[in-house]
Amino acid sequence: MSKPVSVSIAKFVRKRVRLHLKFSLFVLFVLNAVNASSQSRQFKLDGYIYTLGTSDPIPNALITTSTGQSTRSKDNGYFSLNIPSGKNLIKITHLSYDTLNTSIELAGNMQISHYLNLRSAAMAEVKVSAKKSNATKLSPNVSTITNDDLEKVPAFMGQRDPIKALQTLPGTGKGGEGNSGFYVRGATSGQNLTIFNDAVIYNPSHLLGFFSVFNSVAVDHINLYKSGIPSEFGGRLSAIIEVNSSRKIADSVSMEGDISILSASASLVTPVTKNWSVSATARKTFMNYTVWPLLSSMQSTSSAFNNINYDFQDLNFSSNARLGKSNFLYFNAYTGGDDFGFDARADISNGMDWQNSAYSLTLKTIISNSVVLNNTASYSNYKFNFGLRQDNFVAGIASNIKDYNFKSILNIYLDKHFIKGGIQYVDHNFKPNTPSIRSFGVDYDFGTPNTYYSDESSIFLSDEYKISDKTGIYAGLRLTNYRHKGPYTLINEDKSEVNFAKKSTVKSFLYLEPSLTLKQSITDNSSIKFSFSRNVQPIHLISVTAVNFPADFWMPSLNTIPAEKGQQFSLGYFRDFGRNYESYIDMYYKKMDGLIEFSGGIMSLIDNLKIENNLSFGTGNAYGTEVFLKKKTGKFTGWIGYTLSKSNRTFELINDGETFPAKYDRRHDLSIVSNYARNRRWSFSGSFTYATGNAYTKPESRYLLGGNIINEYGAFNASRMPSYHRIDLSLTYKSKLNRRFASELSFSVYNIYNRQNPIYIYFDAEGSLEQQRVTIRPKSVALLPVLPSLSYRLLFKQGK
Amino acid sequence: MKLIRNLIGLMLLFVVFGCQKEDPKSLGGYNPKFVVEGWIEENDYPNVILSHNLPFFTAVDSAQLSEVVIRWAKVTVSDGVNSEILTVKRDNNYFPPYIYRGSELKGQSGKTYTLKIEYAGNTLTSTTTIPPRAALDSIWFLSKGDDNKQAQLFVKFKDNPNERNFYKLYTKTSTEKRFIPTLLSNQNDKYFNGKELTIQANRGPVNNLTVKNDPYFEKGETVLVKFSGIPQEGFDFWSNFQDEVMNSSNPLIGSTGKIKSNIEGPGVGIWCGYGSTIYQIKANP
Repeated sequence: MSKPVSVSIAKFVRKRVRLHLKFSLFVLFVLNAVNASSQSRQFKLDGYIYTLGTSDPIPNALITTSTGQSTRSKDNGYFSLNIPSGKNLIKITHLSYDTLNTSIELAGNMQISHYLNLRSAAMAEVKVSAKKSNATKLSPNVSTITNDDLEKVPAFMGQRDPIKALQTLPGTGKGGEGNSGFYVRGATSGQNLTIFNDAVIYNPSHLLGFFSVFNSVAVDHINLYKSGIPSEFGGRLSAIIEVNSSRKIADSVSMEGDISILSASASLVTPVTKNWSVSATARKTFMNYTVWPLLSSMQSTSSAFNNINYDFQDLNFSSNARLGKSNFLYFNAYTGGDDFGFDARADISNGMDWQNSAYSLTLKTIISNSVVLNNTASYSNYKFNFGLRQDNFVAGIASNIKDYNFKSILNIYLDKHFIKGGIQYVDHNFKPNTPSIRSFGVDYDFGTPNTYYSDESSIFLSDEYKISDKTGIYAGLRLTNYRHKGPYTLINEDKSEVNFAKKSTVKSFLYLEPSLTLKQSITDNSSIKFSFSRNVQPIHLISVTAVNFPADFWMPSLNTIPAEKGQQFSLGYFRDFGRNYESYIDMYYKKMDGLIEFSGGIMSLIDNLKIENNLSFGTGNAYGTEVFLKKKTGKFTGWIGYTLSKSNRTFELINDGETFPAKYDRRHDLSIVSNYARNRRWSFSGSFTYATGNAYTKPESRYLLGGNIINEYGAFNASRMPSYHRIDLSLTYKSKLNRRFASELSFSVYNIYNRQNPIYIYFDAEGSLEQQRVTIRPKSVALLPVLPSLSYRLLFKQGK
Repeated sequence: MKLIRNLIGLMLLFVVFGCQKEDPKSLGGYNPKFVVEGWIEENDYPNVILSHNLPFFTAVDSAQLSEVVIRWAKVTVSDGVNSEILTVKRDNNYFPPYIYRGSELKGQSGKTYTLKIEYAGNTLTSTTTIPPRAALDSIWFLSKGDDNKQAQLFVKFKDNPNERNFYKLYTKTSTEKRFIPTLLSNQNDKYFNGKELTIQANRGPVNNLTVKNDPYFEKGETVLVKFSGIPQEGFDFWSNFQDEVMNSSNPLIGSTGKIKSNIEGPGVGIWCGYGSTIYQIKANP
């Protein structure tokens, strides 16, 4: 599959073009002024644009010359220009990379390659490089800045996590302590589409949010789209998180391993032939031998959690091959699983485990220098089990979603247009709640488990059109036909039943997802950008637990469950200050309807209830302003991201129809990340995070019944958990042991001032009614206090 | 390679899983309600405990607790033909220690009973039915606990395949004043209709004011086991009630904040008919 292309218009460089900008798109297209200039003797300059450090080709980079010529790099990074002889200033820009300025003396035809450095925050698209940039590899033609954002965020227990790095950027809220959710612009985590090498990952986190499923060693880059969603994606109301492994065909063996108190991981990249390389990465935690026994010995038995056990492992495999001159075949596999258990009060043990699997096979065909075809087949599977055991009474719920996905995209690179068109088919298979109870050998009979089938067939087309050097437009459209398919028994209002046969259509609907982005440069280093997109989400994540444990399950749209619909407008001002600083202010407004709340808790799922009969529907809106300032150069680097936002919900059956704050409504969200590189060996980084506490429903009164004290709850989500804040620090020492080996020792401290950020608040009564002395207190369950750790990483690269 | 030998991280880790106190804040929107706990057993007189709810963050002292009880209401129970006004009596086995009790109208299996409570211009009503009497086939104990010094209760019964049944299981020892529901005490035959079911019963906590709970009995102790048939409204209420009492502190489960009451009017609680059998047995494995 091709490299991702930004939603927004690429950051065009200045060119002296007289532009007559009118407020009509039609006129914009017509007024495509061209700057004619007299030319001296012309030579051909061609070559390739690559990513610094990984040598991946960069498609769609804009190459402009001081004499006014410009072109874009193709999917394989290739570009070609005819320019006058003599000294030429060349500028290469791409939304996701630092701009490169260079000068070339041309006395004849010349071929030259350029390397660009990934940047972290651009306009709508954010790239996080998960690989170290290697400053020593700088080519004389590259004037770039080493700016590896991931390294600047202090790693939790030595584990770098690309998703955690993304969460330090504005508009991408954290769910709070112990919460793995990713909340973009007031939406829920189930409204994001997370794809790993083109396969959907339905639950992208390991437990408690301290790790995402993406092992940084196996990740090459991540694109986050917050607004103006590109038309090759669809079916979600909020962000697209596109995670990709490297597509580079390795030419030498490299290995990497790290170990800390929590986990160990190892990776290997090796060429098989000249045109084929494979890589594998494995990670495993061993907290059941370190953290949890220590914890159990330190806590009292009256805690809400006792005898915790939890571990996870994951495995990545990639194969990159070149087939002939113009075909590439990529295979990627991910499989990971978690196993969590604890004893609650009253001798009941709880357990949950879940597994994500994602496999994808992509054939990339370079039809010509301007036309590239990507065909991808992928498979995703997410399984989840929740169990509760009390001696011989065992109750459980299993949940599963399985997808088969095919996508074909044709990329056409023209002089001023970048056109993408394609088709996609997704087949979903849902088993949201399969209950089981076994009591002393007797299995409870729950009948046939709820099973649902649905599919989506889409066609999409988009054009990224450079109207002038200062003005660009992206317009795209995606049309999808959604079907809920049989077998299914539809129960009508008069209780009559209609049986649908396998593969027959129970319900279908068509929807359009338009996307538009306009970009206008004001000066050389500032621009404004407006984007709009309307999205429709035909599958739903239903939330059932009190905190964001992964017990939430997926459901398709049915006759009685409409699709979620959302529209977003976004307007931003982007400005660079010299080479050192970049900044932006971005405002958004989002409107959503068809939002879903489940009316029961997880316990009501231990029943074969029809989920569609236990849902309530509502609307929501979210708006906010994001501010970002980043210092890119010097020994001291870092960024500040701040979001001021509001997210509301209105449900007819909740809170008497009154509007209430969304659970993850954040008035303030602030992240400060800084890094001080004393020299090539020592670096120090620190981060501060602050977020308004989650909304929750608090008891307002109580009563006595059967000798118990029972809480009565007040207005929905009317109370706030305490604010979330935390400082992390880390100190890293890098050393190069010899030509092949390098190592990295880091000492990090999580939550340095030992803030007890609660994951959950409950109200507990203690005392005796007979003695007429009872105290009731809110109790908050906090997770991790100050947590120092040491980790060691060893890197090996085969000499050439 | 030299440093490789020096590797392997050291381990500094302090993990504390803690609970922290918080300052109570506002009283919020307290909405006064009556609280009803009423029951009518087969072949026994009706009983009703009536109180009102309390704002959340007021201190609970003896004055508050003695004030929650409502002693002067008119409580009437009717079977459709006959009705009786219950009279209030002090009974220290309950809390609040005042109970409205009948002395004429006895519960009969299959009959429907209406409860009407009138107090200070308010009227609460509810109806319930006494289901068929539930009975156990066998009761036994197995050695459990530390060094097998204690005993665990097991019961077995066969569900009637031709009826919709709901069950509730309780125990009581000489130190307890009331029958205490076992840990997972409510059963719905939707999932085991017509089958024989064995329940490995754990003693439930006396109430939710203590986290201490011993699931076993002392060997040789005399145990009263009560097995009741309850109507659907009773099952719905007691299942929700059990979830709230047992699981609201569990972050996986939390509180749904909904207890399905069958009281109509400005009140919460339950009016429930029971068809029970009580067994006395020594906890001898």
